[in-house]
Amino acid sequence: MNRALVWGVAAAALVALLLTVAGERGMLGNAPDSPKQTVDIGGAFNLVDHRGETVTEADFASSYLLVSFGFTSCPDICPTALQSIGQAMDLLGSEGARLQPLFITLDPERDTPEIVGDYAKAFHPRLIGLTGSTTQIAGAAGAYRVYYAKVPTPDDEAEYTIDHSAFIYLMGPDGAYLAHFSHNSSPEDIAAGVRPYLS
Amino acid sequence: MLRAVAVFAALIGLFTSAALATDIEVTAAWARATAGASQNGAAYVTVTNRGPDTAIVRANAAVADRVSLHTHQMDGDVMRMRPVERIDLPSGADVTMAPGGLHIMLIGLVEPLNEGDQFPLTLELADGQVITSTVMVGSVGSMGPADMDYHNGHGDHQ
Ligand SMILES: [Cu+2]
Repeated sequence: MNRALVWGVAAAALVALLLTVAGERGMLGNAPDSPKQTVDIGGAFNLVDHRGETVTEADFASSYLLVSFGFTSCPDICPTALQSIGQAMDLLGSEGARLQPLFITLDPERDTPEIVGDYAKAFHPRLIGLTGSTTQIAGAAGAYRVYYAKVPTPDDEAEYTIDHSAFIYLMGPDGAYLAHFSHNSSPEDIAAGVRPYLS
Repeated sequence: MLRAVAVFAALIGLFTSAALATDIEVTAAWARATAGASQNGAAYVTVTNRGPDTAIVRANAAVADRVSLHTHQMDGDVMRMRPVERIDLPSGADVTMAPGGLHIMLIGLVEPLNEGDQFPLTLELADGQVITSTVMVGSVGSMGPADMDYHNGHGDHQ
């Protein structure tokens, strides 16, 4: 009787543990492992590149996109993600010819087309930095379900930082969401996660 | 030339740490080069404390208008960068700052940091000690001293 109860509790605990692990995998895992499903992330955007020209998803109609969001006054998280994207591009080499990395600022007030363009180029020559009006940025961030919020820094009223979710999204040439990576995914993980879709 | 400067800096480091006989040792101090026109930077240090508990309460560097102690909090999927009052240095512990966590934020860089540059960084501790170390500037996406031609000149003597 007691023994059955102990086994029952142990079995329930094991199931709970497996469910938790599965849940976390689903949350964090790089999507090649996740089941194929349609995810409503991404879509049309209307932004401005380093030359001040309008850029939309139609400009990348035959490319896979590797889309990340951030802001150039961020010295810590954003460079880590962009460095990994740049190194993943190098790892992919010619395989990455149809992969276009994009960095979209969440700080359109400070990040002019030139600033965000130069910032992106510092990490990889193929990385395109995009900005826009606050409305354009809100549109792009909304499409990718990016959370962002301007937060004043307590020690200086004129300064602010931006809290933001920091995923990297892989989108297909048809604009469909394919996979995502975390901001601290390694270049090897990103390259390995992207490669199956490109071939 | 750069090498000579590095050797000189290491010698000065040796001299000052011996002269002060401090229990606190900064064994790595590095920053990333400025990407594009970014106004801000971050420096990271590794501090070994062989003395009693203390904390970093302030940092200063002439390369930026303002220097503050920061951390990153991961709140679900959202990264939040926040100032902290102090960075604890527990007795007998190594505290290693790294991207994505504790950092010394350089706000309003006087001029861009370039790979290979060095600059002095001063840390003020809760017990009144003031420690100056030389920050080595790595690439824009450097992940730390292992990426860099960085030789720890004053870590293991004694
Ligand atoms: Cu910071």
